[in-house]
Amino acid sequence: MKENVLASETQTEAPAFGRGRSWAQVMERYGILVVFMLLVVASALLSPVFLRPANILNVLRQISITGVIALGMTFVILTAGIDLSVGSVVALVTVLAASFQRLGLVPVLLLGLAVGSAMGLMNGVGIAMGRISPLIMTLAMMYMGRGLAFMYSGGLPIYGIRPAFIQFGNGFTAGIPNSVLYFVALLILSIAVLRFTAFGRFVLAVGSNEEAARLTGVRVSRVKVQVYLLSGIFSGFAGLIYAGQLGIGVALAGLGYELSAIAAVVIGGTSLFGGHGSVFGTFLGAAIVGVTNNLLNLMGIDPLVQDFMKGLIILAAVLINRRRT
Amino acid sequence: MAILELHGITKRFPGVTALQEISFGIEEGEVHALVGENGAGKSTLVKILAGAVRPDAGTVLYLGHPVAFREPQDAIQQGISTIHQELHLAPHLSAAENIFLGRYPLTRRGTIDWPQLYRDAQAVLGRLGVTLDVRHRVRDLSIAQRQVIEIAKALVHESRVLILDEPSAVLGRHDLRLLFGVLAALKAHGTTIVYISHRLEEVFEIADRVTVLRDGRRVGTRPVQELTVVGLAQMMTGRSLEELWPVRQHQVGEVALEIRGLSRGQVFRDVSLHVRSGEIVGLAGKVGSGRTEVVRAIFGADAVDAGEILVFGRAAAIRSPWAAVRYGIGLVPEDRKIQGLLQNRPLVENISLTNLGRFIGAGFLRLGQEARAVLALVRALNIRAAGLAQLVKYLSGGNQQKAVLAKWLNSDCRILIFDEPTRGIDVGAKVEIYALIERLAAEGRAILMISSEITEILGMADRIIVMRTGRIAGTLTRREATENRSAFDALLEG
Amino acid sequence: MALIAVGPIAHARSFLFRAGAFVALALLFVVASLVSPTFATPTNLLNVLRQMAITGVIGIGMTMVILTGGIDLSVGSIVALVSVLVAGFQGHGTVVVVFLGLLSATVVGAINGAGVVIGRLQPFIMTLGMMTVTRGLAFMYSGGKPMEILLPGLDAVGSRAILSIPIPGLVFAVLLALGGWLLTAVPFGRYLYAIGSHEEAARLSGVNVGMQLFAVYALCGLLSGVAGVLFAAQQSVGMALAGTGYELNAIAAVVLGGTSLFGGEGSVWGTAAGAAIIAILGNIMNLSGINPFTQDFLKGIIIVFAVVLQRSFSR
Repeated sequence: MKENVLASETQTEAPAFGRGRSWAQVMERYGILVVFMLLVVASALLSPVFLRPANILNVLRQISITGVIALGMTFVILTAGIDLSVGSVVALVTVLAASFQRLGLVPVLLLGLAVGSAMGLMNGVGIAMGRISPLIMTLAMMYMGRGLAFMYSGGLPIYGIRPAFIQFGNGFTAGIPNSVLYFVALLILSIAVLRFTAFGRFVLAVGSNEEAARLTGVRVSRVKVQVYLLSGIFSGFAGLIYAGQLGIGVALAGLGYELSAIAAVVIGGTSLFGGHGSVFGTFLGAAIVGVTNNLLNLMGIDPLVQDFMKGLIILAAVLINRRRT
Repeated sequence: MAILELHGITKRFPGVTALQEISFGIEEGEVHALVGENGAGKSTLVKILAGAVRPDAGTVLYLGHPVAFREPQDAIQQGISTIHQELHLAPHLSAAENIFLGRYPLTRRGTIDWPQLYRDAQAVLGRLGVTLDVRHRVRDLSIAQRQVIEIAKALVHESRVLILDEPSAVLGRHDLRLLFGVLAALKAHGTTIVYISHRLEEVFEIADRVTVLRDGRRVGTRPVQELTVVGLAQMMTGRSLEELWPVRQHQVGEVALEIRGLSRGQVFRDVSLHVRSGEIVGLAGKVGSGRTEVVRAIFGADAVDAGEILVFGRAAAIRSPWAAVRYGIGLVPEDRKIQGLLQNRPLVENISLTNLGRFIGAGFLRLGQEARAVLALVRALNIRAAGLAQLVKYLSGGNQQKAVLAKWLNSDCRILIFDEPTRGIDVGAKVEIYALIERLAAEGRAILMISSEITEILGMADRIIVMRTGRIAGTLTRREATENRSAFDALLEG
Repeated sequence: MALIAVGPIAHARSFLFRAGAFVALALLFVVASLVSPTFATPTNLLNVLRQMAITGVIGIGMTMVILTGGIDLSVGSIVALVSVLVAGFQGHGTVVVVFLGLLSATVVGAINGAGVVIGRLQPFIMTLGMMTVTRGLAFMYSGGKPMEILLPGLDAVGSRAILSIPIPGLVFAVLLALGGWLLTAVPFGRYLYAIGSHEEAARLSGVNVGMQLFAVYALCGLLSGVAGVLFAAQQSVGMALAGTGYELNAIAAVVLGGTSLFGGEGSVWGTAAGAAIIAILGNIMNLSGINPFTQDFLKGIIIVFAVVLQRSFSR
């Protein structure tokens, strides 16, 4: 007679690692890191210049803008949503930032964040209250955002970005590009929020099983609005950095940024179905894309060929890292 | 003649032997019941017969020949169909299309012959003694009707063996009659039926013989006439049935939850009831009587048209589950897998989700504190898991249910609502759950329990409220219901 | 023994949901006629038809892919690739380039299918990767510069009409009818619905899910190839930037038309209605002299409005 009738439960997975983790969970955590390391090693072998500090900083600088966007996108995708409007937020923000430079640096920064927030809020409300599918809502917002940018700028670039602003977006602090500093800071913040705050847990819960989360007392609608708001703010910030780097405001800015951001998130191991993934993974995903671009440049490969190769490498990375459901 | 024979079937998973040297035979044309606790190996055995899992040792003989199915399609093609609890029907397609999926009747030109399809589908259902407009989309059909469509599929595949995995888990009494009628028609047709169920009463109604599994071994195979319910339960659990019900220790206090005149459209009207602290109130009724809808409304999961809810005497505006949780109400839902837990998240996250505020210091979660508190609950409820980080989907049914319970205990709720607390859980785990519910009541919580198992309601509840077609039909004390079963039945049936 | 039949309300709701796009289209027609007197003229309407042909053709393929619960983001870049290949091989004549274009498009689609079925990658990712690869190929081949096309035969396809109907519009109409027939009359089409509705059920019933998915992505590629040929015919240029945004347009048309992104329900007729709605909206805005920049903005608002409307129909 057993002391506990449940001792004979059938486990269909081998929980071999501490605290009950299975192989699948471990692979998920470290798989993409392995891919990244392999890529770094390959790059170092293929180009002597790769590991030079100047080059590494360069890579980081190039991925910072889409990287910041990807951080916000991670939260959205974790709730099983998507945000296609991020690129148009960048466009609108560069145009408005260039246009209102006379307000001074800080007010312009706030304006950019406000614009991003407004668009994110509209996305969130439409998706959470209006129950519109994220794909459609953010698609529509993308049209609206870019349309507004075009309307406002008449399709022409807007000049007049002041030195202080350029310093903000394109300057250096202690030898490190500002944009990299912003990216790293937001990265650390995002990791902390996802892992160590109640909000982070709610995001994961909503993505994992929205109804169960609701029946556990999670305020699902509020969480959804919050993640889209977050994505909007991050995109707005990215737009500010970009404006500083470009030196002009232009409605064509940010084209294709949404796909770059989504690619970074997905390569980083976050599932489009939501419920699991990591912010650090997104960083690695962005880094993989960035290193790939860098490698192709260093090897002198025709820029026209690069897109082609980039696509192949994205596919390869995802294939290697795919989850076995 | 034995249509299916198992010889020495063994199956091991990492850490546990699910099936040990299982050998028995299933006669052609009989209804053979397979019973056992979760973890007894029932589900694994079904998977082997269905072709989804391969045994490590032993052979399966089908029609006298050894078979080794590589995948479920193999089994189906050879004539063994399995109807799982999650029905494998395409909800957007019509019933007729589902029945003939993969084998549409074609015209000479190669296009689908729709009129013929509908005629054939009606004919198949007719053989099962059922009439239904086969053009309806499956998702517009009730669960009972969908099960019939699945059975019709098996008929079309000319299955000689039909395995049904816990079909009655989701059916009420009336629908069960329907199902049994269909199975009888199948049997007359010569189909062999393997019937898995937890509800021992059904085994006696429908089966010719029954095989009992316990801890991966076969305890015995007997003709049903030679057994009694009590005897069968004993074979399954190795313990006697009287030990099922916990010793009553709780005392009833003030009114914790009261609802007045709650109504929602045609679903339920004018429902009023109350539950006291330390009391266990059973909510009985047939499937479709509106009980789940009422408790969901109390919990804020659905809106209501009229009525009020009072918590400890004060009016409570509950418009979302979040509000309900703040008032100290918890709900253990009917479908724990889909509604009660985040299957792909770790155990610790599931349990702490109801009250994360407990573990927050300076804006951030204190993971160590969280782990300690959750571990205490896990131990207290005796949840068997490989660790706090284990994903909930790897837990057994009983342990998942306890996890749901743990999450509500974490929220310090004073009012706890259970919707079918022991559905799909083996007898052994049931005992644990009953003991836990009793303990919760003894600690002064108000318990409202929906159950469709009469024995369960009579065994656990102090007071029984009966609902019928969306209204309260009547209330009985446990003693009244036990002593006057016919009055109880009258309230249920109307 | 009879079972209770399903209520008439469920029937009506389901009908309204599917009819939603057509109702909206009809309403739009009326509004458009009121807003501009030139709208309802044959010249204008045929022009609208010509303009929506490309999105419409892509939409047919996209509908089928979405019905299985998948998606294809590479359609726009296939248009680009086909346009540059047509330009590059124009020396061999219209027939050869059309064949080449369709072939290459189908190959891309087949690769998508292989990635989804054999590689078991999510359609979103696979087609996203192929989108980058294909457009990259187009850039590589064209050197990043537009390539002029001087093929009278092809040009005729883009600009001529048969019985007053522009050839691109005819092509769209024929393919639409074929697509509609495919989805209702033969098992292949019904299996697409089944896969989107419950893949496992389809598999267990003996449907060859792998082949079906492979075929539907190849088919979508082929149809994008047709769109690419139409593009080359209408614009007389091959360029690697062609088709940018076409995937989103197609998805918008599909969703507006009532097809669910989760798969299992929808129709190509709905997609056609959706494409028509988008095209007519663009047309009205043009006729009203609205700034093209403002048009995008309004397009966004209207999509939202339309989806919300459609939802309230299905409640």
